[in-house]
Parts: sequence; structure tokens; C-alpha cells
Amino acid sequence: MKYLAILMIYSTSVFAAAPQFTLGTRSSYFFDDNKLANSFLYAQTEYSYENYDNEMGLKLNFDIRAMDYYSSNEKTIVDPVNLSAEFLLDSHRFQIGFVRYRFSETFGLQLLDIANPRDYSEFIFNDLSWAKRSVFGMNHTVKYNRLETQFILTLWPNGDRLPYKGSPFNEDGFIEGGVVERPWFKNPEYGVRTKYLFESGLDLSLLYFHHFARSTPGLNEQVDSFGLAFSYVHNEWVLRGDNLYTLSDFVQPTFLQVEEKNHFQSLWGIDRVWENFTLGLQVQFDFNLYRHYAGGQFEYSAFDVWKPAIMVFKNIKREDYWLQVKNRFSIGDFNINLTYDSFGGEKTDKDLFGHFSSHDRFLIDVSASF
Amino acid sequence: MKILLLLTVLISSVASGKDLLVEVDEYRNPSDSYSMKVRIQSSTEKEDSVFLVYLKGNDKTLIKVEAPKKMLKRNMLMIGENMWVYVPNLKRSVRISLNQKLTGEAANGDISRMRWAGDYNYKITKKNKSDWQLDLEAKKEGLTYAKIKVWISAKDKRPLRAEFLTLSGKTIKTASYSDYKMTLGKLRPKKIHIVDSLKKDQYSNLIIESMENKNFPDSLFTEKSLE
Repeated sequence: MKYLAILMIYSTSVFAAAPQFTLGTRSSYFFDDNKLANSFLYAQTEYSYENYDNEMGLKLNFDIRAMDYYSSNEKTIVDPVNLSAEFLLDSHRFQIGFVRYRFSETFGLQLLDIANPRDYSEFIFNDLSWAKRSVFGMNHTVKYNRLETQFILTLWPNGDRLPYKGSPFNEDGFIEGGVVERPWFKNPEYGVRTKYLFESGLDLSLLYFHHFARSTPGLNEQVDSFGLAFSYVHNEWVLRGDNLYTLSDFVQPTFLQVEEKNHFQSLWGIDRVWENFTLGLQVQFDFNLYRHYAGGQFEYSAFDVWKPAIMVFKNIKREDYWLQVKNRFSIGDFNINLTYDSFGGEKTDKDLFGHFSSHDRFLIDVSASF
Repeated sequence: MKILLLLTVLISSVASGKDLLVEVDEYRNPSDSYSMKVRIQSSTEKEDSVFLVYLKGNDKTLIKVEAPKKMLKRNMLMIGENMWVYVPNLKRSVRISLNQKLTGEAANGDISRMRWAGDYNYKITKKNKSDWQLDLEAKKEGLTYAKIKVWISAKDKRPLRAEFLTLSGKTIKTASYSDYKMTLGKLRPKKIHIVDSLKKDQYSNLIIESMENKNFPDSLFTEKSLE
């Protein structure tokens, strides 16, 4: 509670510089357990300063969030979403600080998102503003005409956050729960991504990253991944693909099993943005765990107050599925997010969402931004 | 003889045409690298939209949304004929096309791609005493408009009005350039009034509130700047 108070005081003190300050609460109702869980208050301050008047451009980012749980005894979590400085000079852009890297333009199961640890406290993966955890690193991008190369060195990889003992995703207490501790300057993560935008509009990128195995939450083993991503605009449609090959990855056929094997995942999708409608469709393959899904995401944005969205993932051959219905209401400075998640399927090594089939939930997030 | 004279005018216009279109562009573009603050008032939108636009050359533009609040962070990046928009709700950037609607009657390309020279071939089709008519045809696919008819002042070549057309020649919308004021050493239009050709009562006013010459680094024009 003291951290939340400190953050609020600090936010108030810098309010003159016009940052955005958000105060809210999130809570989930789990139908099978008939109880509220993962309930917490949160405060977030966002502020950025940009100056491109001088030869060297400067951007300072201050985005910090504190979460104070009232449904469990977890410690208050201070999450430095983006506390970084960026320097821009000619074709170079250098960033240092607490950051979250972005490797993909997809939704749902983000297979290329290997550079950030995850918050598994809710085990819902697609809301990256909540699921990604920050690291401390350096990010240097060099742009030469249509070629862009990004070098990443993560000095503090940070750890995953696992579900608290007794929470709906860790009821039996199989895992310790909480944040996996990782020391500074030990086992750094590093990699390079290079992309080229062809005259035809094809945006092709290749990446290599040395990182902690992210296929199994909380594991302290490092692996090497190679990726290929592309996007291409044809008329109004965007075709895109992400492919990831991880050498000697640690995969999890079921919650209690970990296997070491080369791991190849592939995702192909199309997007289209209409005036008031965003559509995304994709197929996703895991060639080692034999889990193949088709998915869709639709967002309707015609109404000023209400923005409904729906996302569905369904195993191509099995019952395994995830359905998510989101409703976002914005009234002045107030936002209300109502999300329903439904999971179905069996609990075998060929299923993913089936393991959560008794965790259908209704999430409510109420916040005010000033 | 009249036909021969007209042909001579047309050929000579095409031959010297590039400079003329550059001259027309200079009214809206003070330099190769500049920023401008644009307010868009639309008959169909309750609130004004305000954009901070960073432009470099004809192929690099970064648009930051300053208002309305519901559109904040929905920033856009243009490189070549490629465009990305950041969708804050989805926390990802999505590729879009230049001709998609920005707000009201304005398309993304109306503020991201401010130069016609380089993108369009043109010919002078009519020379009146007070104005000339130019017919512009896109050199490449993926631009905001396939064809444009532009009326410029015969005296100083400033743009007066334009009609934006589909490839088949159907008029989509019209624009008029007005409120010329001295800005950064030249008279420039402060207001562009865009009217939907199908729904004549629907319009948008693009008001250029400020302009500044700045030499932006190339590295500003990357997807990283969308966040």
C-alpha cells in the first residue's frame, strides 16, 4: 500500500507537467469457483517529453504502474512499464531504461514475443498491456533507407510473475507463485533484428535472440531463437506471418511436464481496417506440440461510448478453444472494461485452452484518467 | 490551327511540368523537413481532431494524435506508400492504406502526403485568365487518389481548389485552399475545406495552426515512434 501511496504522491507532484494519471481497479469473477479473485487497485502515470529541436533528438518516457492486491497477501507490485530515455541522431536511435520490446503485429498467442517476461497471474495472454513485464535494457536501431537493424542487450531480464498460491490458476499450490527473481547483469539476453521494406510493400524481417525459455513459465534456462516475420499490403488487406524456431526449447505438453526439444511455431494472418471495424484472421501452428489453431479478432469502433470486440481461437482438429468478448465503455474520463473469457477442451498434451476449462471468468476493470 | 496550338501548349506544359507542380507544392510545404499542427473540424464529428505531423521528404511522415481523447495514441507512420496505425486497445500496430479515412472527410494521405510532384504526372488542360487547370494522374499504385484535378492561380501558381477522383474518373471529394497567410516566408493556405461529393452537406476543414522547419533525424520515422 505504501508504494501505491508513494506513486500517487509523486504523480500529483509532477501533475503540473501534464502527465496522464489513471486510477483503477480490476477484479475477476470465476464461475466454477463462484468467487472473485485477482482483485487489485492500480495507479498509473504516463508522461513523455519529446524534443527534436537540436541536432540530437530526445524522448523521455515515464510510464509506471503500481498494483496493490486486496484479494490476496501478495506484495504491492511496482511495474516500470516504460522508464527510458531515447536519443535520435541521423539514422540512429538509442534507448536505455526499463522497456518492453515489440517484435510482432499479431494478436492472441504472441509467438514472436520472446524478449519480455510475462505476468501469468491471470494466465490470459492477449492483453499485452497487462501480460508483458518490463526488462532493463539497451535498444539501438539503425535505419538506412528501407533497411532497419535493431540490436538489443537486456542487462536485467526480469522474471515471470507466476500465479499466487491459492489463486484460481494455482489452487493446489503446485508452484511457489510470485515473481521469479533474476539478478542484474547475470545471464543477459541479447539479439538482433533486421528488416527491409521492399518497394512492393513487403516488409520482411529476420531475428535472432538469446533469451530465457519462455515456452515454460518461470524456467531459468536460456535458449536461442531464430525468427522470420513479414507483412504485405494487397489493396485494403494486410497479409502477415510470424515464424519462430527455438533450439532445444523447453516446452510444456501439460502443466506438470517439461520436455526439451527443438520448437517450430508458425503464424499466418490477414487484417483489414474499415472505417469503424477492425478484422484480423489467423492460423497458428505448433509443429512440435501438434497444437494448431484458427483465430479471429473483430473490433467495432463506431460508437463514441461503447467499443465491443470479440476474439476466438479454436484448435483446428480438437474441441480446444478460447472465446473472449470485450466491451469497453468510455464516458468522459471514466473507462469500464467488461471482459468474458471462456475456455473449452480436454486436458491432454494436445490441448492448451482445455487446461483452463474450469476457469471461465468475467473481468471488470474500472478506471478514471486525469 | 487551333488544335495545333493546343497541342503545342500541352506538350510544352508536360515538358516543363515538373517545375510547375513543385512550385504548386511549395505553397503547402515550406521545406523538405518540417512539422505542422493540424486541426480538423468535421461536420460529422462532435469534437475537433488535432494532429502533430512530422514530415521529411515526400515519403516519411509521422502523425501524432493530440485530440480527441478517444483517439489519443492512435498514431500513424508513413514510409513510401506504406502506412501503419497504432491501435492502443489492441496494443499493436496495423498496416493500413493511404486512402483510408482519417476523420470526417479527410483521408490519411490528406495530411501525411502533402506533395503531388513525384507522385503524379500531370498536364495543363485549361488556361483561363485567372486560373489554370491541371490534370494529375498517379504514377504508382497505393496513393491516396488515382487522379486529381487541380485549379491553380494563373498569377502566382498557388492551389485554389482540387477534385479528387477514382481511377474511373468518378469524383470522390473536392477541396478548396483558402486563408492564405504569410508563414515561414511565403503565403500559405491555412485552411483546406474538403467536401464529400456524394453527401454535399458533409465537410471537413483542415486548419493548419502552426508550421515549423526542423531537420528531423531519419530514425524518427520508425514503428518505434508509434508507441
